[in-house]
Amino acid sequence: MLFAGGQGGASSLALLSQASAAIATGLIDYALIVAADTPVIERSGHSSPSYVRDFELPFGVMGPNSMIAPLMRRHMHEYGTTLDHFGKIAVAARYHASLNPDAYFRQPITLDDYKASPLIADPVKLLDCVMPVNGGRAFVVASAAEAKRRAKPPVYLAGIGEFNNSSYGPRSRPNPLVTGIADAGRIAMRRAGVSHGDIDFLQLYDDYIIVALMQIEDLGFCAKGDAAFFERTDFTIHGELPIQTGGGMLNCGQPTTAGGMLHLIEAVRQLRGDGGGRQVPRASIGLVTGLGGIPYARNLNSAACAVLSKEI
Amino acid sequence: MMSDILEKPLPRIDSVTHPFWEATASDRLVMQRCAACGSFVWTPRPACNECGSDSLVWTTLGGRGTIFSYTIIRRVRGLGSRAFEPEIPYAVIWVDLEEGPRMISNLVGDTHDRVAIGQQVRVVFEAAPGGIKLPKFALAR
Repeated sequence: MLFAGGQGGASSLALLSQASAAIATGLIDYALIVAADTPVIERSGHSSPSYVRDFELPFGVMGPNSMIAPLMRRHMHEYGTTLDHFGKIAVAARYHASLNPDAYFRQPITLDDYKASPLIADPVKLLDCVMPVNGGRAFVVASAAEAKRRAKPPVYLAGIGEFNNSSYGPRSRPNPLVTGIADAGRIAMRRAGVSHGDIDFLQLYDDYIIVALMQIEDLGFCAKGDAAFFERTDFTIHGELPIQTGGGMLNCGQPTTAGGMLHLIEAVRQLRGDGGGRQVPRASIGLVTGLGGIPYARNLNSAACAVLSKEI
Repeated sequence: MMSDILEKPLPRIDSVTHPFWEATASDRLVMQRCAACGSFVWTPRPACNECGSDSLVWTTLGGRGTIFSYTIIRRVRGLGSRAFEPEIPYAVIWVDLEEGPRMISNLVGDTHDRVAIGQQVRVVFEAAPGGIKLPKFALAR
């Protein structure tokens, strides 16, 4: 069977969902999920969706930076979120990248480095953004019985949820500060039968710091705009809620759609105990997210969330 | 310089969007509204994205609104973007129109240092090549 991902950064998890359904029904024994792209080239004849061509580009809306920046600005306005809160995530992710030999950006940063990084589209700064890179990744899915016979210990899919084309509020004026992870995460956690306290780490889709921050809220680890939570929580592997344990896409780069697979692969490594210097102690359950597509004046279009487990 | 010969991208006017651009050419802001469920539909579509009805009626709007959020563009990349380099820094704003829908546009004039959430704005129509006028916004008095 051939599956094709069409949900941008949520594609890897959406394909995992389809592959596991096909394996469970006996249609296939194994699935090889591959993602690769080469965004770092000069493109010609690149075509945009009509709403981008007609109602974004003529107004100098320059792709994701200028679509995500108003979300970050509004989050700061509505909840009093500060650069300290965003910066804390940037510093934690970079710290983990410094422990990951496969990351691109490995030099640790401070909160001041984050705050001093150049503005791209206020309030989005260089260190808020993911870097496009060329690259590819792959993983194999099989039934539990098959997987157990292989050399490497398997990691189990405990629950998965998808939520596409979300709009929180009227479509002509939705609340853009909620990601579809609010629903995809709830579905995945319910199917896995886990609650927040069971989860040992998060691998959040992180094309921007603000996108990672909104997902922590939307997953229900804190209320929307809970500044005190972001101030007291240690997001490193030594803390109570480790995130982006390999540095995330922010530090490993984004080969467009293939970027979203990074988080799944890092979760598998952690649950196998292959995390090396960045291993989360006693990691047995991890949560992975994917988000894709930036529609007009809304949050991201496609959301998927998976709960992975070391044991069945 | 390369940017001297680059032109800003323009909307391509098609069977769905032409009433919008005909209206802006005569300084009117219009938007589709669903005759079945009353929802505004933006950006233009063949059918309502709330209820699926294809009974959409172009409705004239007052052109007044409030800034919901914004960004100041300070860097551009990519061929299609370099035509905007002379404008940097410029404001991209999300405007909540009085009638309800939210629109992405620009704040005109040398006002990027005065942009703020909650500012009142009114639509202005900025001439572009080919007889097209782009709906932009100015700070309201």
